[in-house]
Amino acid sequence: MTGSLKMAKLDFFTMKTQFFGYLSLAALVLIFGYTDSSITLLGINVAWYTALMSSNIFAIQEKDNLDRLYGSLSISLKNIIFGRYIFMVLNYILSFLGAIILYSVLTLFQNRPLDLVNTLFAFGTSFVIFSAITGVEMPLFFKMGYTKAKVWFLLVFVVILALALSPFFIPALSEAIQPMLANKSICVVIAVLASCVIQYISYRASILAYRKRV
Amino acid sequence: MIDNLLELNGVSKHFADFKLNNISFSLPQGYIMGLVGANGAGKTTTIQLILNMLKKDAGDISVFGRDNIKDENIIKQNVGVVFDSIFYVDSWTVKDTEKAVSIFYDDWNHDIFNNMTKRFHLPPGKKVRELSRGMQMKLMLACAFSHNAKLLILDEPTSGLDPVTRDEFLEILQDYIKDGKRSVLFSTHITTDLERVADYITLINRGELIFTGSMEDLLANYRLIKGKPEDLTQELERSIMGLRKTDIGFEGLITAKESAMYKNYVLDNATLDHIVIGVSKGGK
Amino acid sequence: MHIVISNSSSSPIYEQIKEQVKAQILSGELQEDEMLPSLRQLARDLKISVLTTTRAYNELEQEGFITSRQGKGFFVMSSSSNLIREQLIKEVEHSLNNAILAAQRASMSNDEIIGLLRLLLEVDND
Repeated sequence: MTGSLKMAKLDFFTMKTQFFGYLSLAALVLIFGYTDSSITLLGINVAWYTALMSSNIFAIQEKDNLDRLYGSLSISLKNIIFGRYIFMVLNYILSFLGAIILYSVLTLFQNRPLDLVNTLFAFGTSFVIFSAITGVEMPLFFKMGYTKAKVWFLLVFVVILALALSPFFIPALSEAIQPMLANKSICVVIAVLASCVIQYISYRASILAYRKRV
Repeated sequence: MIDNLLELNGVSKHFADFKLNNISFSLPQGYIMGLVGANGAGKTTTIQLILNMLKKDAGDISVFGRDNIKDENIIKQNVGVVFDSIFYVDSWTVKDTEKAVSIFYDDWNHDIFNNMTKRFHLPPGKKVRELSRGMQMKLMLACAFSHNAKLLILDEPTSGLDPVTRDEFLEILQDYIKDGKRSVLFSTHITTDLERVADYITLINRGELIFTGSMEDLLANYRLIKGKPEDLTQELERSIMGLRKTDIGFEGLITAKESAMYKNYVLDNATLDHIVIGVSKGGK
Repeated sequence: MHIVISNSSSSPIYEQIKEQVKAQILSGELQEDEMLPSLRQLARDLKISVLTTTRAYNELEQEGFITSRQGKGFFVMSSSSNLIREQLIKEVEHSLNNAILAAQRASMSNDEIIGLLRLLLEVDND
């Protein structure tokens, strides 16, 4: 296993006591299953919820002096950062999959089968929102540590979420995105590509940030 | 032929308000070196530079004969580290800690870890946050011993520990170097821990290297000079470090070389503690 | 082999080790060809640094009382008890010479000197 994968494994192990938090996500899904909300909205909720929960790893890192643990282990700076990004993305994907599986099980009983295109569209939208939030937050956390960066994180979080949810509340915007909704497959591809670009830029920024701080 | 397990050459690091300047020393295989100095002297910075947790501005560091940056991952397979506070997740149990740390080592020895935790009375199911400070240090030590570490780097590991635990700790270190193939770099400001057990000493003050060499040579380099107040000449006062002047007399640290000029004063052997205090206060 | 270190002694630790080893060779506690504890074991047991025990053993070896065998350790040399005895006899000779000089300054005759020596030996034997 390369250093980065080992780091991601360590991150999962670090967070293992936090998994009850993830189970509340299941509760969210249950609520969704019994209402008529769109799957896109579910995806957005997975995005912000996972972004919020996974940022806790930075809190633990700061509280328990894990910088020193990472420094003593035989992994490079790049391994540490890349491993953390793998952890975050994996976290998100697993959460999204889990939410979709639960949702489809519940909707099966209500005779509302899952639509592949809509599901992929939800994934694209959700992933790009998740990437936007964590993409900005991670270099901040690496540079300033959890406590100092927390304020900025909440700010970024609120702004991006507001932007993401605005079409649901502002009719004008809702109309503006109609052409997008007509071509859902293309949107998915663009969204996933955009997410990868955001994650990559964020990764390079994090390396610079952590190196300067450490 | 004894190899140096650790070598620093001209290592420097600049901060806004502090500068670690031109530090050089070597630690041969099979010995204990104390890295001493007052708080803020630069001991932790030196250790962080060795571990590449901080980027050095100048100089070379080699561990096991390899460059500490180029071969960082190879080197760290055989380096054990203990800091003054625990660096494991506090909700982990002792067993969890082994699971987490062993991921990173090819040579992890489960039996040694078990033996160590038994010897240190560390219950496998106990959480890190439930361990006392002394037991936390022993947990870090157990992990450091379980992956075939040839070099132990300890940064103030005994601060805040009771004398009994500190004594146990020194015994453990002496056992560690018994095979003559492993070394210990022990940074501390508690000099009594080192006084009998350390073979070599590197003394740092305000980022500068004051002395590096055998304990014997260090002790031979300094004297305590004492005398009556009226015997304190201006010239002498300039040579003394950490001068203590009272109505009934004066006392301070002086180099052995300079003490040759003051043969008729009271000259005592200086302990490691005297030397660290004198050098830190004297600002020479 | 037994070594007891005194911290309050004015003699440095390595000197104390040397003296005690020599004393034990003389008294027969340490037999000829007997193996001494290793440098590191001794350092560990006495809680002192390895360089200290190294110095003590190196000097004992230089002075001819012990010898190191590659890969095995340090051993008491077969002639060392004689060597130590010789060293001590030299010391006695030196001290006696000093005593004689002092006695001559005090204008003591040879018979007086011998008589004093006999007296002191008797007192000692009591």
